[in-house]
Amino acid sequence: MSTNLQVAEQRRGDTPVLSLKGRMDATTSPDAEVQLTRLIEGGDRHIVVDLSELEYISSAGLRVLLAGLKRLKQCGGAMKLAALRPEIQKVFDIAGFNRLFAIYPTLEEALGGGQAG
Amino acid sequence: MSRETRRITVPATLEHLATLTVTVTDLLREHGIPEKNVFEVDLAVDEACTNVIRYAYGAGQGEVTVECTVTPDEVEVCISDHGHRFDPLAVETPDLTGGVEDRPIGGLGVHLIRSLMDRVTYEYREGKNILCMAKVRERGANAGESDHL
Repeated sequence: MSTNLQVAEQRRGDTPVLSLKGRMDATTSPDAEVQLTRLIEGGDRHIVVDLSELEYISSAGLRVLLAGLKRLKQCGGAMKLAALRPEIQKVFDIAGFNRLFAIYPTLEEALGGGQAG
Repeated sequence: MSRETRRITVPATLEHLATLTVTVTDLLREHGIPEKNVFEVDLAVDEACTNVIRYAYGAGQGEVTVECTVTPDEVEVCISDHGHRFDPLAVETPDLTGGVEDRPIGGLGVHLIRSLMDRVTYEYREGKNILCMAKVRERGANAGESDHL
């Protein structure tokens, strides 16, 4: 099990995809927040976050994702989350975040623009 | 071994958060606790310790102690500090029904602890905040547990 978080960014067409790998807690979440803020301040309004390799998330990580979603919504944008592992999905369910975010089973589906699952 | 306790005290700063959670998760794995439950206890301990680190003391001050006990029946973790007297269980559950705009940022940690653990208690004793939480061990073929140690 990892104790750190790796944040990677790629572009699929015009859409930035932020990939989070490892552990998102109070210590590591600021790294994701910095990247997310940079994308939004750089003008991106539709962001996909790939969580397929995220092993762990605490309320500190949830807070960063929610803050990003709030900022995007305020300027007419959106955030899509892709490929949550079952334990991550459970944390989202407990926190009621499953109703706040558009969540897709796979990255391709999130990029495809269909309805969230 | 039917019962084992491990205890660690560190300065209450975020740099030590991983040391606290890894102490607990290592002990749980050594006792064959299923990964699903390791995840849940890890998260509850993380939330409780993060609260102590952020709010119990002035910046950079104080210590936090984590004591984890594994028995054949349950896992219990107690987190204690000498900071301001504060009962986290008195905090009301945030409203989880609102939309993105209404949703406050934060306030979820204690809700996660309550949801993930089977028993959570708080007491203030001898100048210490003591938050204890327990997870009952799952029985059956899928539990993957053994007491071979």
